[in-house]
Amino acid sequence: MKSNQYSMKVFETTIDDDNKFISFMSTNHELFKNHLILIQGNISKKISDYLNDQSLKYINNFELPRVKKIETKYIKPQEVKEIKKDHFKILTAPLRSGQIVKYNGDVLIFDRINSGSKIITTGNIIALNIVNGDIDSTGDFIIIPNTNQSNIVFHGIKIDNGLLKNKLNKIEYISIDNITISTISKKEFIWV
Amino acid sequence: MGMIIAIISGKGGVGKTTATANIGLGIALNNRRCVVVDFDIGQRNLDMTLGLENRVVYDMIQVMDEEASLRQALIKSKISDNLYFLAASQTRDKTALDSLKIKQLIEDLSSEFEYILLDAPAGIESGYEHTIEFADTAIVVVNPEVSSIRDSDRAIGVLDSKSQKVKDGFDVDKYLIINRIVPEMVESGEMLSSDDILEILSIKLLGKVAEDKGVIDASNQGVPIILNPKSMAGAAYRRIADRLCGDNVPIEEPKVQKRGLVGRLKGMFS
Ligand SMILES: Nc1ncnc2c1ncn2[C@@H]1O[C@H](COP(=O)(O)OP(=O)(O)O)[C@@H](O)[C@H]1O
Ligand SMILES: [Mg+2]
Repeated sequence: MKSNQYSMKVFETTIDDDNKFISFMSTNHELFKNHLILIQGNISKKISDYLNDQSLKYINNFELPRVKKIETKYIKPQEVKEIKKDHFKILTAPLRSGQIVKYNGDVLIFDRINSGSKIITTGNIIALNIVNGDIDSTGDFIIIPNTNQSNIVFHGIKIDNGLLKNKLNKIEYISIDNITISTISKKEFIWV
Repeated sequence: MGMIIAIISGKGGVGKTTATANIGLGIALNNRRCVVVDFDIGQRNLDMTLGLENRVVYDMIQVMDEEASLRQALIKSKISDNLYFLAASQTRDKTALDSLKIKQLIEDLSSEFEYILLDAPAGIESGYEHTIEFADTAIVVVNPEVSSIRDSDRAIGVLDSKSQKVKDGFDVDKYLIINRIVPEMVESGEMLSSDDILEILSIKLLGKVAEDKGVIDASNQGVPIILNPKSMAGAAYRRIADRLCGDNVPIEEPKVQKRGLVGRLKGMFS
């Protein structure tokens, strides 16, 4: 016997309004194209045509084996829009002492993060200029230049500044007891 | 419409009042009509620096509360007909300030004067936000020390979020004066260099003023240092005023003063 095991994401939903469902699926196509869509209740021809058209894989009225349920928040269309808006922030002005940026997503900052300021985010941080302010992230990674002054907390763990020796460093979350720090660039970038 | 300039800093005692008096006088001596307003309620000393303390009858709050007219409250400088002064209240507390009234006052001043300089309280004080609210330009005064720079950085942050101009979607122009530079200490590395300070604060440089004992004396006598042709600090304020009047004057680096024999002898006796 030759066998394989897979785990996959299932998006379970009921459909009250065909048009709403189709518009929701269209805006979130990227998100669901590799999901298995499980529709509980009746499916109209319009819906099945749409799903086939979009090559979305779906099943109907199916009792799932005991699985881990993940956050269901994003199922409501309005909330999905909010998550999208709150996804990525670009800061082009310096962050000054006393300023705190709290953000639910990734932050890219081109200018200085001055002493006495702070960025708190649930996403990734890419800082390209001098960092003297504090950083707190629970994202997948932080990209940051060498810094002596900054207080960096990543998933609740204080990062030792001595480990950030290079011009640009990457702090990466592998698992809760495995955070790695690697070099992205050893020297200053030279732009042509 | 006049140019409304707030003179600000993070902490107190860095030289805002001195800068306001000297720049105001410098602008007036360039034949522009200028008014300096003391917004540092409760610790007014701009009147003293300008030698006008015994001329104050009505103050800014009385004008705002319509207890006195602007004309009654404005005091003309003895030194220049182009320079006027509006005093802070010594008696009322800072909560007496009200946004709408401040706006009205500044509009009235701006229809009569080309330059309106507002001497602000330190950035941590409650009156600070009122001073910057209707300014279209800010001059940040710092001393070359870490705490002064950090506090100024914070004051700039507040400026960038609280000023009406920013709320309307524009930028407030921000200029930096580095005050009390001791060239010997910069040279020996004991004092932060201007480049370091500019890099941290990322705003445009307006001027560099050296530490000068004459400044304190000048303030006490009510004769601003800008009138002293021999003072390096005075010359620096003159250049700053000229720049604000649109002249393209290069920035000068305060130099270590090399004293000749006469200078050294004088130094021994002074
Ligand atoms: N360039 C300077 N050299 C020497 N003393 C100075 C200089 N600038 C300001 N001072 C002195 O520093 C003190 C505080 O200045 P002031 O202008 O009152 O500051 P602020 O208005 O910011 O509180 C005063 O005694 C003043 O004479
Ligand atoms: Mg003062």
